[in-house]
Amino acid sequence: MSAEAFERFRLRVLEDATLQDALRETPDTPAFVARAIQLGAAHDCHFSAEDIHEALRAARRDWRQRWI
Amino acid sequence: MDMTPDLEGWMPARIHLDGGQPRVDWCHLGGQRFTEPFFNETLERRLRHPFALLFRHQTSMDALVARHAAKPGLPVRGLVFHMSRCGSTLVAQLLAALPRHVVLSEAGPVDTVLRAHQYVPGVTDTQRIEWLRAVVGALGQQRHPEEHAVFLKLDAWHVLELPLLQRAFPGVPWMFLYRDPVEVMASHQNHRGAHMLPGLLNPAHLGLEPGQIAGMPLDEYGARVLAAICEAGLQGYRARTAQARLMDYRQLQPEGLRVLTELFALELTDEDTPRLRDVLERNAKNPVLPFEDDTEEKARRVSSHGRALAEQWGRPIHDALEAERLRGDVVP
Repeated sequence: MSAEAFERFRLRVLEDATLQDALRETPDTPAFVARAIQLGAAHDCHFSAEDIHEALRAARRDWRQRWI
Repeated sequence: MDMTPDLEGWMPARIHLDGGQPRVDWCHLGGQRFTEPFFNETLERRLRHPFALLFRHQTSMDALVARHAAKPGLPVRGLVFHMSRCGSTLVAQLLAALPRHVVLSEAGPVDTVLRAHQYVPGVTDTQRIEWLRAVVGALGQQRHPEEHAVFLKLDAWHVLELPLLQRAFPGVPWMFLYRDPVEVMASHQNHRGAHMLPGLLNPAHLGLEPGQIAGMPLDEYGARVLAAICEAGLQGYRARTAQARLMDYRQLQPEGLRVLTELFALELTDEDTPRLRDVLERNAKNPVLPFEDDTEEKARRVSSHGRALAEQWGRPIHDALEAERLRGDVVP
């Protein structure tokens, strides 16, 4: 269920400017993943690095498909 | 019911259809300026960071319009129309070289709202104008203290909507760039632009019935598209309601900067000169390469059939544009 936990965390971040700042300031993907796991756990959303990478792949697919 | 999020710092990156209605995808651009040759390149660069890709707001068009009412953005100071492959990217790069400008170069969301009536039934011109202003206002938010003006470098086919764009941005000066039709045809034969393929443009805009396009050779279709775009530029210029300039590609290197400065009242400073010189010395679409005039190479490369079509459809309107330009630019 950690994919579901990441989605809960993602929705929470979209409503929280402080969490957004903390994640935006990461310099690269490994740092982002580490920060996201840490912040997620602090908000009772437990997910793995692979869950984030899968979400990234899905977001990329979604972005490419949504052309008008 | 749309729960509108806090959109401070977010940009409408894309507009897509959801259940037949347009929805806005918002991306956080941070402090990244639009300095790449095209809007989409800036966006793609930003989307390499996982935050930008994973965390995007989605809202209705109404939320975008409401945002515009609350935060209208920087004023639009110039519009750049063109027939494609004629130096318009250089113009955009010159404007973007000055840090006080926000330059939206062929921005996808601008194109989407301009074509909204083609895929959402019942969308009126008034609605398109409202959406257009809202998109440009959201993209043209001041994100650096020195920024004070927005310029739109449009897609080639947007000159077909020039009357609507003038209504959306009344009094804003504009230019239309064009080039010898054989050279433009040569460029498209090498790598065809989206507007040179049937499907993107409404056939009525080209003076064609839908049935006429089926079976029409691609080069003929493309030559007719280029002619229609140039015709719209010429007719728009003759009916202009703001300051406007016609500019041939050959004028760009010697005179482009002066024309831009005059038309858009740029007020250049000493610091601007090296920035602009740097742009002029590079390939506009691939700034890591130096500029090379490819006029002769293009004229040599075009097929004889392409040349004949460019002469048939493009030469008369190119000549008419040149004649109009040489008559001089008169402020209306």
